[in-house]
Amino acid sequence: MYEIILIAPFSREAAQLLEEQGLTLEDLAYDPLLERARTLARERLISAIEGRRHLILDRANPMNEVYSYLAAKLIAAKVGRSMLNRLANYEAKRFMDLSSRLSRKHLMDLATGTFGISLREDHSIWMDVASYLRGCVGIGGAKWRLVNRILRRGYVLIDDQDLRRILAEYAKKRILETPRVELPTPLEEIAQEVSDLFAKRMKRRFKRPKKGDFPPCIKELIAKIRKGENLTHQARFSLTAFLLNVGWTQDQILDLFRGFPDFNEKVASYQISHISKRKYKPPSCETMRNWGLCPGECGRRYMLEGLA
Amino acid sequence: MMFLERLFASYYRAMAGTIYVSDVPRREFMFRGFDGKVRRHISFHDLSELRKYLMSEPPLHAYYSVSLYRRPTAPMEEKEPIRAELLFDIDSTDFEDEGCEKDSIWRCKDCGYTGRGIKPSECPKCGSERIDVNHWLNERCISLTKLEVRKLMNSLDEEFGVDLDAIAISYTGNRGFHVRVTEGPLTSLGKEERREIAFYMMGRGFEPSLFMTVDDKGRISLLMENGVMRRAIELLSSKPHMVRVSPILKEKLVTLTSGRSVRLNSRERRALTNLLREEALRSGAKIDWMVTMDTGRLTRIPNSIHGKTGFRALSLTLEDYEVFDPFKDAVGLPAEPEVKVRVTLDVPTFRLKGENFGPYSPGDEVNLPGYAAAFLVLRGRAEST
Repeated sequence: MYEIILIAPFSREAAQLLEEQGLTLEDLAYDPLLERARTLARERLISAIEGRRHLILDRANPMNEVYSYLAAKLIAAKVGRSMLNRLANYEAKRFMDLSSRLSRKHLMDLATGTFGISLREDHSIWMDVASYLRGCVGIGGAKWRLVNRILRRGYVLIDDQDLRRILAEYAKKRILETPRVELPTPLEEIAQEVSDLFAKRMKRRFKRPKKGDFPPCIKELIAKIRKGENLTHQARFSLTAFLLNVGWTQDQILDLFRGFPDFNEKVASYQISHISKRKYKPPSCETMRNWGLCPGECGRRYMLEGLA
Repeated sequence: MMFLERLFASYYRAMAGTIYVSDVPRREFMFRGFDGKVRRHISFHDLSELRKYLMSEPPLHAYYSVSLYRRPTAPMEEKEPIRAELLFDIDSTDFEDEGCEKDSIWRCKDCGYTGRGIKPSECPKCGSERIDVNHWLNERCISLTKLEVRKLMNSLDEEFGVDLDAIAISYTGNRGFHVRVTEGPLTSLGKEERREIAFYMMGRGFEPSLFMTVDDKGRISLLMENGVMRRAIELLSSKPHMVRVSPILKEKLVTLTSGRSVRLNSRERRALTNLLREEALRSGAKIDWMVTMDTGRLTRIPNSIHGKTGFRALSLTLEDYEVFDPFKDAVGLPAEPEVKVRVTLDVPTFRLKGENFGPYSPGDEVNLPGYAAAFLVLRGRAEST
């Protein structure tokens, strides 16, 4: 039980404990016994901004994980959509890192109890197709596409690793649903600090040349980054190849990518320079459609059509 | 155009009782009138109000939203969707099939050059890409699209586990069919999720290498549990497309598809992967994925009249779609009064309600039963005199 709430502070078990204790927002802000939880919340947020994979674990008092998770969510929501995205991503990764310690039974309980996912088990696990789809659309890569899955009578075959990855997506989505509320002073102060730090990190982001008339697929990808959403590997590749081909510099693209919730300067700049060195062309419209990146017919035959 | 309106009105007067849309008060409706005007964001309290509307103002085209909304009459952003039918659109116009298009007539918008059959990508005379097509429809269009309906039905049943009671099939009234899932968990999915379903049906994005295993001796075998893989293999084993691979690979392919493993060099492996990818697409259902994805879609009301044919967009049971013949079963407009029309474009022989008509040439003036006259006028091949 403690293991579950420690690793999955978003779980129904954790929510039940909070409810039993009747914890209020005021408690979360002022209760001196929750000082440690507030510190942990701040650390969660800073780790999320800095892209650290810092695993906070208060084994002595697992409830601190739950309190700090909750506080961090509320603070991130107050700071704004991009910050919330970033935290959601951080928590999803944290869950991925830690959940390998959970047994299959625990993972399955988490799926059904917390997220209402329907599962069947023989030697492998089968997940109801609607729940699978809600999870997989946030995950890039061919193996996650439904077309590459075994689907029988409304259930999709998955393994334990897949289940963890899908649960991480659900955890992410749940954080993104956090409502924006006014915070009591001590939490608001953390929000201010986090907001400043975040702004500083993002500062150079949108200094870039004029947009011109980009195709809608590219506009959509840029809009997503602006909202602080994640993109799949293929989406990042397509965008990078396109922007390099219309004359953006590597630094300009890097600055744009600072908006990613999982931004990592080292990895990103390596990938961008790699694409640049190989002189990749942006994918064909057909490929974009297959990758699910084409928002609809725009009349162009290829991405660079009509661009000087 | 007056005669058309009268025919449509008489259809709705007699047949409005067959119009059925579930959850009427939660839907948005759209109508295109004979004056060309479009009315959107309309809602009705109940089915009988909808039917009365169709009787009093018979439209050329009648649509309803696949989505249920809390506020169906609000602008799109404020409608508050609740859930939406999962819609598959099969239209033979997308198939580019020679038989189906043999009586279609295309015309270059720039130089006026015309021809028959599949529209060329550019005008053979002036090179322009601006080409209009006047499509015709024949039995071939219908039999082709029925095959796709069957694929969807099999997959929805066996793979997606959809309750057959929650599936509705209807003829579009023109060159294809609509298949809808009306209830159940799939109706609460968003756009991205629906695209995954559409791509699954189409075999699009299929990656065969994910279903190849290599044993310690370097021998490859295929995993057949994936439905797309199974369909690709079935098609491959059913011969004609196999002609393009080398005899050696062909032999190995037979071994592989019978469930045994073979050694493949990297070139053969690449060839096999490409082949399977192509067969996956070829064996997939030919649907318009953008329709499936679009939860804001408006779609033709079952049993209403299609304004480009005068045919009924007939709702069909799972049993009778296979034997359905639109040229008999979907003729909905009355025969009376007879109407005299002047032919403006070549008309091939066609059969309606068991009676043969045509062929006609431009300039011919003929007296036809109301439904046949309406068919020619609505298809843009004749005008009323």
